[in-house]
Amino acid sequence: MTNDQHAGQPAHQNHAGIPLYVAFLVVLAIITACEWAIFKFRVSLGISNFVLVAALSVMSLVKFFMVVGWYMHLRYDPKLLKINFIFAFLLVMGIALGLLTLMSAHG
Amino acid sequence: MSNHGAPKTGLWSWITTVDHKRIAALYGFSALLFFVLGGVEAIMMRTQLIVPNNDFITARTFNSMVTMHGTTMIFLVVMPLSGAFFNFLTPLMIGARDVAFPRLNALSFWVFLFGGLLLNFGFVINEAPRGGWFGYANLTELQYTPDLSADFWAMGLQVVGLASLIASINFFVTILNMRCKGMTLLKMPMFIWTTLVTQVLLFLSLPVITIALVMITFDRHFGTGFFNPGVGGSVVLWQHLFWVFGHPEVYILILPAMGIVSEILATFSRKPLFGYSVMVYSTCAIGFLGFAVWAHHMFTTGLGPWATTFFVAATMLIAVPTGVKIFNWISTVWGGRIKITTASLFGLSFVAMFTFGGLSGIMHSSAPIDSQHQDTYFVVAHFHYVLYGGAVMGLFGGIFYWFPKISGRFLNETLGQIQFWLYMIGFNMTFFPMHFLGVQGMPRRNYTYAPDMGWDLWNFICTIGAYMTAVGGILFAINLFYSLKKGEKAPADPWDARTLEWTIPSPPPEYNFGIEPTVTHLDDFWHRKYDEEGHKKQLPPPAKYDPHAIHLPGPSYWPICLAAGLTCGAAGFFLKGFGLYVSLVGVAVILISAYGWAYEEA
Amino acid sequence: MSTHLETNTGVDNRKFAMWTLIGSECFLFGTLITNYLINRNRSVTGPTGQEIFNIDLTTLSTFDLLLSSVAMAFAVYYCKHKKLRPMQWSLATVALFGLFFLGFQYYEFSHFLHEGLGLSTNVFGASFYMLTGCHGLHVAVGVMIISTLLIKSLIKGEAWFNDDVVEICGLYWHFVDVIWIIIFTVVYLFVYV
Repeated sequence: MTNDQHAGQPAHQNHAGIPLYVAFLVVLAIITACEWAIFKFRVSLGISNFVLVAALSVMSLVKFFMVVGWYMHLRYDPKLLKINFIFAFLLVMGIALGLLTLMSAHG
Repeated sequence: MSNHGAPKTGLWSWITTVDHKRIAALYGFSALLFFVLGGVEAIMMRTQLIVPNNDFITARTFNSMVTMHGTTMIFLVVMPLSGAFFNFLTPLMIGARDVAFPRLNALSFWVFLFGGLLLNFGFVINEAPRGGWFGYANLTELQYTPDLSADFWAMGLQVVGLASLIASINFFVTILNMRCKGMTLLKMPMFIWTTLVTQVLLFLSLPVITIALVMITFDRHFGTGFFNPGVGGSVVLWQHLFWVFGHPEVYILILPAMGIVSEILATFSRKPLFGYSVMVYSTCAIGFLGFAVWAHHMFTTGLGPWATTFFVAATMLIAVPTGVKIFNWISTVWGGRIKITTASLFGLSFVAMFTFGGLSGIMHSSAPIDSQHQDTYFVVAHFHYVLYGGAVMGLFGGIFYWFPKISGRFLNETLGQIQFWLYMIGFNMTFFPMHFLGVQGMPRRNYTYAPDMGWDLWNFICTIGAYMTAVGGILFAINLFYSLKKGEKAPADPWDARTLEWTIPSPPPEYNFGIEPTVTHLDDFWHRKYDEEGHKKQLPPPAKYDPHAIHLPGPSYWPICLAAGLTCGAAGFFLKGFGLYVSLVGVAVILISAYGWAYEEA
Repeated sequence: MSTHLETNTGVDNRKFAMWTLIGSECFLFGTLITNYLINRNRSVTGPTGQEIFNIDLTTLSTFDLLLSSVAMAFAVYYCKHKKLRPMQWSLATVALFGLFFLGFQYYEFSHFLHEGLGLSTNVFGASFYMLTGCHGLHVAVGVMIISTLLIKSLIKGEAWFNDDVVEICGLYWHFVDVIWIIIFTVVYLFVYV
């Protein structure tokens, strides 16, 4: 169904205000500090490569989606915009994984 | 925002136009000129191969012909000709007045044109690209291609790629955001669906080749070793990066023609397209799966059994939605009251020729069989059947179908049908024997062959077929120029068609629709003309409107300026010495144009 | 030109175009990152990341970009709520922190050059410089555009509250930040993996 709307008015009310943005910043900063810490103390904490990669991947993905979802407002945007981005993101991840697998098989 | 003072004729009006219909004509004409160039390159090759041990052209020249014929036909003919149809039809078929970003539209045309000139500039200094249209490293590295030919190729392609990227964003937004009232996604014409999926393929796959071209340019000019095995680089990496782009690219080449054929066959069978929603899903499936099959171009590089199996499976899988589309076209025509015109002949031949190409394609999908096909004429046969028998035939069908709408005159049917048969016979004469040549082991991209291989007869026939095609091409040029001036005048709806572009006069007024349409059905125009039993309905008189109340964006010279700056910047990149200054001038022009554009009164 | 036009999705054409560009840039940076990961351990000579990366400094530059991102969110908010001075301060902060980030990059690159890692030294260096250089270019273009907006606002004052344009620049800037989030992890934090 077409959903003709005036471009100036968003389809919902944006609840995010300054306090929320500051809260997000604090969370993002804390996660970044954790990432730094895990890296810095991986040897003394006895963290294996696998755990390191897993933990850091999760943390950076959380940061990634926080910025995309809230700072970039995607959480509140129409479905088509979300599909557009998620599709591109998932597809490039798939191709990247494919390429990495293929190129590691070559000497 | 009105442009009532804008010039309507003259060179300046074309240089500054932002009207999608004019930009379509610019794309179309440029593509046809490049088609002649690519055709000449083909004739040169075929003449060299007419007899064994020929010395019509040198090996170096032959390699340039191989390279530039492919590069030209793909990037400077099929893509911009498809672009001409995207430009002309997209706003009309969705009931809009123009695309989302008219000046950006003009920009992508000028960038394409200048990029095409850059790509071909090597001919002027006898350093035409000769590394193949796929520029495999490390042949294109400085060590093996010390002259500028590989740079013209890499930089020219960068610029042309940028044009497509810009255009793809424009059309993507236009289709999703500017449809008229009532036109839901599943009421859009099939051509708009194939256009939409093509744009997605473009803006997702082009960045990959952008990076690959940057890498080969860096290798050549900054001493990086991305594709130099001696320092840890990998030649196979080039192939991967190229084909991650290259495979979606071939779907970019074929999908628009598929959309055109869907429209043509429905109109000339006087039946709706069979299985519309299935066609839509198949198109989307082809687009998506197109990203998952790239390494089938690399079966002989030693991928390993698991990877090979995956790509074999994925390639076979993509044949399914493709086959579905073929069945649907056949079902569309089946039981219809078929009208034979040049357009419908091209449309019908598309289905047959593309199927042939698909059959040789599915043979390639088996890796063991492909190891025999690789680098032989069997592959050349395959892709010419899908790209020439498929895409080019489909596009010519589109030209004959929509020419009356664009210009207000018919192309001559007699000349058109003669041309069609010359093309069909010539094309099959050239490319069908190549299946045999391939099976008999004739390698591709070789400038000559020995007389005792048993390939003489087929090569001779192939070349005669090429000459026949050339005659057909000349007939088309005559037809085109004659019909533009003296062709029979065409009404708004000469073919009794189904989509919105036929509801407005031929040629359309600048603002397209006097009153923006409202749509209630798929093939809405057909439903307005005919009731459920197929009886003609009384069409209401056209509504009154004031053309002067319609505001259109004004013309602008910033797009051509920005395009010139961009090309300048790219060209200076690989010139020694003064090249840096050329690039800096280019960057300055880009900045000035960008600011001028941004501050221009819309 | 596309403002206040009725659109099927309700999203302004230019905002939609920016999101489409962002989808395309996912593939641009995806290719660059993949290429880096393929090449980082294939060098035959020269310094590697393990020898020359300074994770502490890079973490600082990550914080810098995060701060610039929140400043950008503030700028978009203040623009929507028509608060001129706070918007201008926010835009200036974004541009300034963007310049700091470029400063970090410049320092890092010169330090690496000094340590013997140039563009043509090895494939690790080539891939690293191409990736981070491309990202840096995007930051630089962003700083230029945001500075232009700021100057326009300073000149026109209350008459210029262009929500759509500021929001769209915000999308671009946040995306540049998001790519850095990935680069920080994949290039720097994974250096010993």
